[in-house]
Amino acid sequence: MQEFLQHTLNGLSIGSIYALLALGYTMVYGILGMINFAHSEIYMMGAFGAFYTARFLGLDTPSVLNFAIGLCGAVLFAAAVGFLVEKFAYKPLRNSPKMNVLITAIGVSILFQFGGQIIFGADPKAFPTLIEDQNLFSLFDSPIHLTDLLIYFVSFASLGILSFIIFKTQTGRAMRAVSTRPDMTPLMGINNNKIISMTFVIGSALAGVAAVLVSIKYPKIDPMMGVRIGMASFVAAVFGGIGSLHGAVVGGFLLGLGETYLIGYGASTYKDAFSFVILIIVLLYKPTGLFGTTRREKI
Amino acid sequence: MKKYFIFLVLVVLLGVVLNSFLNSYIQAIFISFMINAVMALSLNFITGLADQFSLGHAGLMAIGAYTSAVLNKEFFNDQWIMIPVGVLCGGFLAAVAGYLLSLPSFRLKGDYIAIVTLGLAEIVRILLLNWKHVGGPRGYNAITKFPDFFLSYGFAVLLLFITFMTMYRLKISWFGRNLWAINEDDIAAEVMGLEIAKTKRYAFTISSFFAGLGGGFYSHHLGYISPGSFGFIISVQILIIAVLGGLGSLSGSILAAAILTFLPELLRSVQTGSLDLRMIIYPILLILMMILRPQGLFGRKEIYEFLSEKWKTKLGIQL
Amino acid sequence: MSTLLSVKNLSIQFGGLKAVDSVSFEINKSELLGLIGPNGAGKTTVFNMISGFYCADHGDIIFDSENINKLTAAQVNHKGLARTFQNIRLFRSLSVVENVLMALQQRRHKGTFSDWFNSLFNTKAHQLTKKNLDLEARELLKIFSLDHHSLELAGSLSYGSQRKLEIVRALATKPKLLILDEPAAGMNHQETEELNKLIRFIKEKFNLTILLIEHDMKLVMNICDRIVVLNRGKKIADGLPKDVKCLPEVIEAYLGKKPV
Repeated sequence: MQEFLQHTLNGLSIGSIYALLALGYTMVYGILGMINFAHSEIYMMGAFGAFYTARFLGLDTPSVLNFAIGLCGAVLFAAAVGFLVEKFAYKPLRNSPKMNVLITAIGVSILFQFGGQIIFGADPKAFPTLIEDQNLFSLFDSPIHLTDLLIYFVSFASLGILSFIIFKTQTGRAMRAVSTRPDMTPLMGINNNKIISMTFVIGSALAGVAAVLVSIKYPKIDPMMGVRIGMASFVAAVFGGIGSLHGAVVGGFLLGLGETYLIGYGASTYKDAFSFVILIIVLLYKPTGLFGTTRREKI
Repeated sequence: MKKYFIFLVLVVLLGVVLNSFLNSYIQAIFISFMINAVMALSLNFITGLADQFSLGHAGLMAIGAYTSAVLNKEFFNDQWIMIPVGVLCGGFLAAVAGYLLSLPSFRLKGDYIAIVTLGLAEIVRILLLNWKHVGGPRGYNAITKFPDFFLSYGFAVLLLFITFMTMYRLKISWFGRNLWAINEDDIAAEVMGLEIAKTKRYAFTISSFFAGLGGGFYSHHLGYISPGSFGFIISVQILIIAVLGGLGSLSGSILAAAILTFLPELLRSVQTGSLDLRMIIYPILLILMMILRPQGLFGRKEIYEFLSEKWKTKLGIQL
Repeated sequence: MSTLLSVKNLSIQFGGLKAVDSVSFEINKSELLGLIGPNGAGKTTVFNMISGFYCADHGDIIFDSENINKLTAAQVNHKGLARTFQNIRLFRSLSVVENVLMALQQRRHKGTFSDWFNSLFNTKAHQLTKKNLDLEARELLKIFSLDHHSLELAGSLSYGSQRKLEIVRALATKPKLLILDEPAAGMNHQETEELNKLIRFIKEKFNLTILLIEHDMKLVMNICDRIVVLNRGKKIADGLPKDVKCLPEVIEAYLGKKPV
């Protein structure tokens, strides 16, 4: 029981990370119909954003304030990177075949991975301790860590902010409109390019949040850190139904939990393969994912 | 018939020159060029002609490589004469894997095949890492090799020739036209009575088969393989060759394979330290090409289509 | 007269909307049936169900005494049903003749072993088939006087010719029943006149049964043998053009109720 609870808690924290990242994939897919392969690298850049913010501002004492500053640094940096990637790599290809955009996305992703190795160095770096981890209390004999609570809190807060933006603001309404009928929205006076940019910025900001949350729990960062987690999050997005925001969150949590149980009860060497096996099963039995809907093409 | 004879003479001549005047380093580069060309053709068939993005060709290559290597070492008593059999088996196993993978992937629209193939490559890599019998992460050693360069060269040329001819014949046949029609408008193609998912499945299986062949020969060429030899980077490298040559242009893929195999070797002298500059240059090349010249060198056309009419008749090419 | 296609109690629902509600009608062999109705009446939806794109929630579609309701679009075509589209769907960057070839070859190459073998080894048989298909395609194009465009890209043809090519391509699959989805959409008066002649011509020449969806009343009244009228997903009339024209329900559907 205690073991199970421990796995569940871990699963929820990794799941909330997946959820944050899956949202980025699903938002971009919803609005542009493309898989943004570079999203995992934006996440990586977020981690380095926080790293350098901490270094230049000399944040060496753990405190909530420093954590907040690091978080802001990551979010701003990731959002900026997302914005630039969209502007310089994807925007020129707005009217090109999908294949070209996908290839570009792959290119951007690799460029960041290896460019990162040149700029930041290929070796893992120790992420500064922005906040001291401690056992707050015990629940059925399993210790509850501060970092875990922080992960839950920050990711739920981010999800709250996101859903406010998407469902309650003018911009969010425009984003939803562009994702359904991009051909009609300009007639309503919506600037599609601006909305697409906005989507990238918001998705990237979430990736920045995820990066800091992961880094306070596993304080080692390197330029390839996004690869595995990015793939898993994408699978989470497909699992939940790509294009669906709720699906991404639910898919993220389910995948995180499943993965943790798998590691917890043996089979840890196959952890990386787990998400892909899930993906193939989903495609076989419910190809639209949990919350996805088939879009009827007008004939 | 005449043109095949001329082709054979040229190939033999090149072989003789390579064998007697150039060192083994350059010989090896020639062979890797041909393997790269086979891999790029294989990817081009599915990505260029069928418009389905595969990111897992390294995984299919790994299946072919390990199958062939293991068969030869464990079951065929290390005889080089059995290498072609092993390679063929590698191709078949890769084709089976590709077929199974294509079953769920083409049931709906979208780029799922990209992710599914990526997943395949990853799963294959993880399985190989955990398979102690073939060395796990340390790799598989002392794989049967051809005893001399001429045999190796001959086999590589044959492999490339068969790959190219198969794909070329299919491209200009009913099958190629079906693929193209699906790219243009899948709904209209379906209304003409074409089973779309089935057609894409065939294309992917054929592509997987040749990726397996390429991988199989790769293992015998190097004599050593490890799960690391088939990482994501390899898939990307194959993709870059296919894109540079032009998605849909088979001869373009061969030319691009030549360029991207020989050029880095020439640039090797200017490389600095341990850093692999290719991994910076490649993605930049990809992005710039997609923005400035997305059709690659030749677009969908074959190289000879750019020749004048006079040369076409001289070479005996009819459309 | 024997029935070629009969639609029985066909219904489909999109979300809360009953797009088509128990529609039944029949088409006899070598008849030209017009399906008309105001915008949103469910005409194209009926078409899409017949041609295998949507699967009806209820009801049956019997074609040539076979139920084709559960078949895919490709299978429906194999049974002998071809269609065109409201917004033209040609293979735009294939040449005109290739568009026709693509349709023709579906009957010839079904992906059997010998198909693969012959094309891989470019055998005599393969070359012959290729030549025959090409001849057949050109002949078909010639009938519709599109042959002098045969090497141009389909996307570069004029609008009227594209419509025509789409019909030729559908004919190339050798259908028993041809379904035309608003062929006169976007055409001017003169082009519609030509289309009128063309439809009569193909009906005679290929001994076809045709189902026509149309907005253009003049065209429908001129050429159709019989007319079925839909409104809000329901059939409201079925009969000869001159009778249907005068029915109060039909006038009401198109023009609204007469003030009392």
